[in-house]
Amino acid sequence: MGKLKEFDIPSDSVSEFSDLVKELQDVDVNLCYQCRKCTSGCPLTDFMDYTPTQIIHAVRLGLKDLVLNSNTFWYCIACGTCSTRCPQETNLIKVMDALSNIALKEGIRSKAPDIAKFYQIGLANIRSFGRMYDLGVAGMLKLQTGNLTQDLATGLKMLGKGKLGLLPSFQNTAAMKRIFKRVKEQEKA
Amino acid sequence: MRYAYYKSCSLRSTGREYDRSLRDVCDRVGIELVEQKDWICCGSTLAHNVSRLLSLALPLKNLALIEKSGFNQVMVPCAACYNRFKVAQYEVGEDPELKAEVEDIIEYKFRGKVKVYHPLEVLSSEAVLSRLSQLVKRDLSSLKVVSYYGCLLVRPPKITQFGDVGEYPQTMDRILRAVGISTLDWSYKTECCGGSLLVTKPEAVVRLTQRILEDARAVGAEAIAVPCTFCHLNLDIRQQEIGKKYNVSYQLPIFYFTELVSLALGTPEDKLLLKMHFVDTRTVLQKVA
Repeated sequence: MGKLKEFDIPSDSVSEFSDLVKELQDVDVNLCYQCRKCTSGCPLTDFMDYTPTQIIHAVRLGLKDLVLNSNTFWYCIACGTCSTRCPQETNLIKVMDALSNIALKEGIRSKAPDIAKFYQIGLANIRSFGRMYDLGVAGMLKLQTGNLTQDLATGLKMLGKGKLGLLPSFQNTAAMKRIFKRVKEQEKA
Repeated sequence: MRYAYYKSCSLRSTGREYDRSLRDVCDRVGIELVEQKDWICCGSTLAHNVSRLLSLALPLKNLALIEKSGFNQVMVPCAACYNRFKVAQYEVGEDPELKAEVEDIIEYKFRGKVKVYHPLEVLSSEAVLSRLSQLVKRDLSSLKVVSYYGCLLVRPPKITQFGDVGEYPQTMDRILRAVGISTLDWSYKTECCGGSLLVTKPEAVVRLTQRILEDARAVGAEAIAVPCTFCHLNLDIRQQEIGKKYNVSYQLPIFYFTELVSLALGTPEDKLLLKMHFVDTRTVLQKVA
């Protein structure tokens, strides 16, 4: 079965917000007809304040504040169940990506601050070391979120089991830093 | 057979036992892995949340290094890396302008397309399967295992084009059966384990993995085989916590599928890094042979 086209949607903008999402991630929320298959399969809806189906509708309506102040896209871990099952082949992973892209860029106070911090600290970490230094990310995250005791026992046991390297190694950091720099320049242009 | 080997960050830390067993299996079946020297992190589950361009540039930079060193195929054992490599290739494949933009960022123009393979795809070819069954040295036929594939290899199928059925994959089952291990049918093969929420929202991971462990036990599994470092961590390290919260004791050892293959091919247990696992593997292994 082929997917429906946007035959009854005027070709000009539906909402500025959905345009922005499309521009950032090349994904069209107007293809969605609210069948809720994404929400039915999503493993994390128990933790989300709005379902993926509601979020995609809100994006179409241009409800930017509501969407960016939800925790839905922070909890999305891109498992791809929604994108796999969507009868309209709307790649919902990319909608969620666009939302965290926008929220981080605009400095929106995250409904799940530790997750937002994790992305930022994690990327700063690979930028500095070239490869992921797990212990560094975990330590920095716990420090910055003040969550020092959460998972401390598990972390120590992982260290004991040799699952976490104590020290970072520096790998091709020149290439890594150059990519970060060039991406930034490109995005400003 | 010769592959460039993108070792992945996680196989240097939390999943060193996966690297050890994968190399052992490849050695035994005559697959040569050539680890790339200058590889960098692919951005994994982080970069796409922050910037689309960055999330494409990082994996494609690595593929550029691989193509430059003369390889046209690469083995990527980490499911998160595999996913990001495939997404990046798909996205630039659909959009020539985007491709030019990313090539400009990484300062490399691709000559062709490097083929990206997960070990499950390589080891489940007919030729390797028959080689595997000839090499079996240890009888593990009484061990009952469920194969857990997780999300990142199989979804979205249009993009990852993983060589298997999206929602009910079989490659791992075929590999394990080739070395005499019985795999059971179950319903949670591709349900999500919570992935990187393990760092930030352990309570979500506990909920998701409990369902997976529960279904594995319900069908009578004695162990779970996995092809992904996230899946391994999430299923392995929180069983005690889950036990306390839900008042059950699972004690289900989580093996990388390569560890089970390696054991069946006769590698002594102490040559693998089974001690890195949280859930003890000895009880189950002593029982079978």
